[in-house]
Amino acid sequence: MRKLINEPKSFVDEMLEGVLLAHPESLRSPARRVLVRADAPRQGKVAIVTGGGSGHLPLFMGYVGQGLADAVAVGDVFASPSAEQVLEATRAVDGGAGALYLYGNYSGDTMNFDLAAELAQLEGLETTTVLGADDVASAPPAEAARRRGVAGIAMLYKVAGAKAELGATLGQVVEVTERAAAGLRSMGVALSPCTVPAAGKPTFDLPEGEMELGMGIHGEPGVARGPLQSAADVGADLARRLVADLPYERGDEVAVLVNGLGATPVEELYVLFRTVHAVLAEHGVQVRRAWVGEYATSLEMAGASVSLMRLGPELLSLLEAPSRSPLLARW
Amino acid sequence: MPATALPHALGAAAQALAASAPELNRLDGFAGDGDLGVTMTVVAEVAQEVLAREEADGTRLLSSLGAAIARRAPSTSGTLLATACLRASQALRDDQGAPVEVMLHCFSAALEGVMARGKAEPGDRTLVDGLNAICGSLERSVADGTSWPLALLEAAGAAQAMAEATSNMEPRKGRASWVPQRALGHPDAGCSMLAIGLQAAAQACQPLP
Repeated sequence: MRKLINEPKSFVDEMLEGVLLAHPESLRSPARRVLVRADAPRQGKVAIVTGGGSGHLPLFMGYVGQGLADAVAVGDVFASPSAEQVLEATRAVDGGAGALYLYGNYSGDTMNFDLAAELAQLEGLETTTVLGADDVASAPPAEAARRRGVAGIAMLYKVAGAKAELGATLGQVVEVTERAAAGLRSMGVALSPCTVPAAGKPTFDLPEGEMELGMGIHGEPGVARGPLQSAADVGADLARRLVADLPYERGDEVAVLVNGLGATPVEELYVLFRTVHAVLAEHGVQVRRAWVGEYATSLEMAGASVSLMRLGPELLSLLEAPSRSPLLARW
Repeated sequence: MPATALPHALGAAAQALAASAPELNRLDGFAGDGDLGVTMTVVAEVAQEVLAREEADGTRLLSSLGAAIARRAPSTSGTLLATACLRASQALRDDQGAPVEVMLHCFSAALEGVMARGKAEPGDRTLVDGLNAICGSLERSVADGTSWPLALLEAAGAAQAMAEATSNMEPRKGRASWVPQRALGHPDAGCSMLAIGLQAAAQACQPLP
């Protein structure tokens, strides 16, 4: 294990200590393993609460900030936060306008967020849930509700966050976020495994020179394993599968996010984006906005994912609205 | 059961579950992560604290218990048990029927909540099978006009029979479904937990001879 850590069991709490020490002007912690915007709660604004397992920075806490989410509940590495943490997060950022629970579709997370919603309701706090379920490799289109959430949620934070900053109601924030989520698709490729500190050994076995298409961000099995291919072939394959899944049609405008999983250099991500852009152009799909970098990682996994979001006029302006996160230089 | 009997029944169930912690850890260890007894020890502690604090209002008692379990025992089984308590609490609030009917409505609401939250169906070899057996037994008791203490005892018997039946069922949900064959030959830990708790509650509620 080549890691700069101390005791594996202290990893998450020491990481959080570091984050709070580095960014005291932006983030504070009102309860154990809960971080909120320093200026929360904002009266009258819909609160956006997220959360999930650690090991994916800048997901999830990197999306707490101005124009983004208000609070995050932080779980152990690759494990859900508890319902109590989600409830504490909800209380800490409640501005009287209700809360949107926005997180990735994993059974542990839905169980705890749903229970938190129930507990919040007992306290008179209104919540509505929108799930990131963008990974096309995790279930066929007919079972889209079973799909896992991956990097595409980064764009949902911008949409929901910007709408909430405009003073929209909970219903309006939910409507636009659901619309964005409905046009959002992602798929990734893994080139090497990652190691959860407390486990001490790689979460799966992937020999040198092989890749797995569609592998999940915790090492969930993908759709195909085979010899490592060129960026042009991988990029074209990912882009074509994404286009076919929604499908994105000639004349559609999209935002693209090419994401590194932790150990793949940003240079390689740009090489991949070049092909994705070309394949989209072939299909008559126009790229209006692109991000290339690390937005949702899996510890030191090598590989990348591509996310597409179909745009309408409102979605583009929400994606371009100002937002600021201490963990993301350009978001 | 009448609401006045609820604290007594819950107290007895909590005590029995704490005493069975090693056995529950053992059962959970065959295919799970072997910590159900640990969770139930915490749940029992939480139940005693809530019972000491809350008055005899059943709705409030169950919702406080659910919230406290969610806070202190955030594992999957703890989360599902918390859900069961919260749903039972809601059912109790809306129900002024006869005691056996009220029990049925509370357990049905708990079953529905646990199925939705855990995404499990009857036959998956989970807590759902135990709750389902309890509901079936209570339905028969309602139809037969059985007294509430006897209905509770019969429901506990049904939960016990279901726990034994799960020995021959392959797990289809949760961690145990990754290694289904390891669970065979042993009763499901979650169903056993229900049977132990309900048996103790039923015994505590029987009229003195």
